[in-house]
Amino acid sequence: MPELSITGTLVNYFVLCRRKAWLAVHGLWMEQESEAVALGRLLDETTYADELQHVNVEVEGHEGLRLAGRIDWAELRDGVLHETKRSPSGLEAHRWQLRFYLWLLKLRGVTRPDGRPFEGQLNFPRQRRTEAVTLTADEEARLRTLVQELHQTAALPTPPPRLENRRFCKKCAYEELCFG
Amino acid sequence: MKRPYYIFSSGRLRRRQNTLFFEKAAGERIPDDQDETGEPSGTPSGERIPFPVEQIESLYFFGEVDLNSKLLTFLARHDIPAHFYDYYGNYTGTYIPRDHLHSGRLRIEQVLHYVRTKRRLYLARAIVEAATYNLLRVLRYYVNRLEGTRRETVSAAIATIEQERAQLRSAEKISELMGIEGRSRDAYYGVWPAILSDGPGEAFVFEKRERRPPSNEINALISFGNSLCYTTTLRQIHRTALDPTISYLHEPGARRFSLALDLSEIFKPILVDRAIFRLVKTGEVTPRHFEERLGGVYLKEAGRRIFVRYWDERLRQTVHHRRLERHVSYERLIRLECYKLIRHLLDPKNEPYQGLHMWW
Repeated sequence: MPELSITGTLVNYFVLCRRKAWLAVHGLWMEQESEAVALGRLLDETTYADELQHVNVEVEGHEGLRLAGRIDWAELRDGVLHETKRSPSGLEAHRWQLRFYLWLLKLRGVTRPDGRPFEGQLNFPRQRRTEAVTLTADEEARLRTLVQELHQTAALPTPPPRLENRRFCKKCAYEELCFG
Repeated sequence: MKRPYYIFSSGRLRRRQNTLFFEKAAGERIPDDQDETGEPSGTPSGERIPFPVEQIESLYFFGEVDLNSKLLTFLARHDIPAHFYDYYGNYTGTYIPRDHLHSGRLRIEQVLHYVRTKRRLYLARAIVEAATYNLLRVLRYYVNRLEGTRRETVSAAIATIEQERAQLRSAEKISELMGIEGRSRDAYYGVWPAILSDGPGEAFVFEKRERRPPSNEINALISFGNSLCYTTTLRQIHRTALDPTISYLHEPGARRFSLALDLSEIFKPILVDRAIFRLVKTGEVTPRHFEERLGGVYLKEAGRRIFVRYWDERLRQTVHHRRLERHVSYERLIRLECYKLIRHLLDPKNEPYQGLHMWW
């Protein structure tokens, strides 16, 4: 298997469904036709256009794991990372994705001008709502194991089984690839 | 919702700002093999038709169309493939925008499943098994509607195909599977006269399947329909990370995207053959829709229009999918077939491929 770069999107997928993460790692992306994803992309391109956008961060994590993040947009002076999402469904996965980015900055030693760590904010422009996300020491430890588990899953020779709860899969871009 | 656009008229298709314009041409089209200048046959008629680029899934050119590389670049940006047909309605080729769906892992598995004899045999067998099952489904549908000797003829063909299918499990070579497929199809085509020869179908003579060139009207319909099935399937394969050149039943293509040939086998009875029966039996297509050229029989433009209109409607018809618990179109079924194949390639033990058996 080629050396894997773990990204925020993969962390997001992994929290939702291990199979989805495995498929994405192996080059099977299904989002090209999903209208929800197209809408999300448009939303990303058209909202918060004045801020510093799409910051790429790469870090060598523990045990040589390569971690990479593409941050939606950042307010550097105030030290806030933003992640724009179409809707709060899959909220837990969104939170972990953003915590992953906060973690990357911490590993890189990037802080606010006053030395405090960056904070995160999930933005739901369609719902006109935001949610603050921070990174506690416990969550940092959880991210470490999450990333390792993701790495192990990616190395499996075959995709992990489908989820038991198909209601959850109904909205997934991978539904037809898994169940069709 | 995106859909294919079929262009029968001649003229020029051009990009105009951020959409497409078709400028119609007036005048007779010169057959491709009788024209040495490469110049457009007609002259612009001044009639312009706007085309909504966002709604185009793919383009089919049945007329003589002029275009330039700017247009191709524009089509590529919108990921629209263009399929070309010659003056006689023969499929010429496809312009496919650069492909952006790649999975190294899947490609490797596709190759391994070809190279390892047992694995290839499994997939080739599954394809023939499903294709011949669908042949039987078509015949069984008609046998109940027939009487007397015609009914017996079709029953006999059903028995022949069932006997052929019984040998699927013991076949150990691709050539044996091809033989089973070929003999089943011979038996199948052999009873078409019994199915077709009443009402408007009496006007058609069909003895056996002959290609290159098609020898009579029914053969012309089969050839034309099969080429539509091939491009439709190819289109779906291109929407996935599958490599269309690596196939299992047909030998991987020196010439064609042979995976599209493999998967087409399963869909031809369902989509092409039933379309032909329908169009012939209702008298929508009649012998006057054909012409003889170069020792073969071909559909004229009016006939192609009728076939394509029905084909397009048919692809959008839906059936209920039990596992997805919703209705999916016939065209989507082809995509789902690609996904089933991907699942098999990634995990043959837990998700073995089974070809689509018509369940409705």
